[in-house]
Amino acid sequence: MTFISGWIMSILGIVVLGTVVDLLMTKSRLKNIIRSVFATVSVLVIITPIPSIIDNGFDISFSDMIGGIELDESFLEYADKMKIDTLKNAIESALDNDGISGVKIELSARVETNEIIVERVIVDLSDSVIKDNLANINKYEFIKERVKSFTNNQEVEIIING
Amino acid sequence: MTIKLFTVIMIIMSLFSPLKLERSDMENVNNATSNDSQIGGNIDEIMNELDLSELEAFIESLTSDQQSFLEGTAVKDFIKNIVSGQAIDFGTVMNYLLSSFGANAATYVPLMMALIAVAVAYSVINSVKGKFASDSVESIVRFACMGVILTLLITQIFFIIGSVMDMIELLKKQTDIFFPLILTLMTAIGAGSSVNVYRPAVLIFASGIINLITAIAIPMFIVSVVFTAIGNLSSGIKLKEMSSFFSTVSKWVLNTTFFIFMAFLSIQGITASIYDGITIRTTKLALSKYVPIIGGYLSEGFNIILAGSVLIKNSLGLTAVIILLFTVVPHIIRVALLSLSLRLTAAIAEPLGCKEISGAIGDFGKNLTMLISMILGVAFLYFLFIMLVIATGNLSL
Repeated sequence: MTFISGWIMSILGIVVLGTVVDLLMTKSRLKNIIRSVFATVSVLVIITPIPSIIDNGFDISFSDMIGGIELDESFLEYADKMKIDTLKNAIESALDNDGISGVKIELSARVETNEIIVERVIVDLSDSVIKDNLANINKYEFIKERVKSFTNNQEVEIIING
Repeated sequence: MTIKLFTVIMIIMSLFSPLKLERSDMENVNNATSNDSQIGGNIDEIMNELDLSELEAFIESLTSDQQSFLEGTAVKDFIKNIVSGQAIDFGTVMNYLLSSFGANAATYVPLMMALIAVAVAYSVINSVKGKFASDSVESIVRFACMGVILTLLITQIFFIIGSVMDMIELLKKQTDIFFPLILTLMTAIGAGSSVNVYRPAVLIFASGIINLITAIAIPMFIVSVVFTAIGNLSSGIKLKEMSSFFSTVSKWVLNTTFFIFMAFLSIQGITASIYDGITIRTTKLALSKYVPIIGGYLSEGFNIILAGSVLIKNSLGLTAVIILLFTVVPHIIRVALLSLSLRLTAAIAEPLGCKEISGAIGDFGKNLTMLISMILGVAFLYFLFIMLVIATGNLSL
């Protein structure tokens, strides 16, 4: 910008000086010559920056582009937690539907793009109530199978307490 | 017998079918109401978790006129209102635009009067000088009048350029505030591929394109204006073509950049969002497939989380468009009014016999259309960018 203003000021100076001289001089051959000289000088001043532009090109600073857009990481963590909680609630509801109520599930999981990767599931049966019709089955195996079905059959560590 | 049996079955079916239909309708209504309330609760929760402090501070920094779209509500409530379908009142927008027009319409009257007064003075001096004054005197009068006119015009135009620079800075600030919020919500709904496309695009827009305008387009406009002034000041040195050259280069640079940016952004954005849409649908399908009964519940739970985030993302986008309207339109009106006022002044000065003065004023009016196209171009690009992000983000659902 400083370069442009300097360039413009020099053109303006030449033109104003030429015009003033033109005004002060009477009609003569010399006046025409001086007019031509000022016109030539103006053209020279106008084209002065062209060689340096060709040599160096434009220097446009894009320094702001270094870095990046910061996403709200705390919100993303919250969104992931919401997704994991949905899975946790779904497992609890499924077990409740199957006849094992009051089960508390703890998930150790992470969200990758659109998939929940479950690493460990802790099933707390201490406050659970099991319906009579499930009395004769192996509840640990049953719960493990049920939990596995929610984790897309990934290799998951399932710990059952109580 | 068969006909009678058929008739009885038909009668029984016709008696019960409305009842069945009503029941299923009622179930649908109940489900919808339950989903609505779940989504409503979800939206409140998401809004509380989302960090809107920068947006709130930005809106606080706007003038009271520019804040009028809020109609006294807090930013969070305004976004929630948009989510619930109570978008901004059209009357408020029209009122703002008309008041902005009214406030600026009278601003240029003194300038117009001053220019016309100089043109009249020049015309009167020329007509009364007769044979008493020489050509040199006429030239000096012309030089003096042109000097006054150019000083008035350049002062006004540089003031306008300053306000346009402020507007562009404000637009950059808006980009820096809105896009991280919108892209965060898009990441939360799983539109990762779209975010990967839009993240560098936001940087190119906020830094590259806005820098291009402030570092190349506006200086070229200034050069073009100054060449117009110098060319009109002297009868010996003509710089009209030089002015037109800078104006044309600036237009080409802007148009080409805008076109390339929009073309790449649209193609990449749409492709990435379709990919996101497919992966999200596959996840939801997998959830219901793996777990036959409860999978539906899980998939529904995901839907509610996604729906809440998408609704907030869309209302944030709409808020960005409204703020754009309230911050950019006054500048467009101001520059357009100045351009029109100068053209009107040139038209009034022409019959007075001041061909050179009216030509100079008309040239400045024409130059200003370049500034208008610059503002419109960058605002339209921002608008399209926001709309593209809103539209393609919804393909994930």
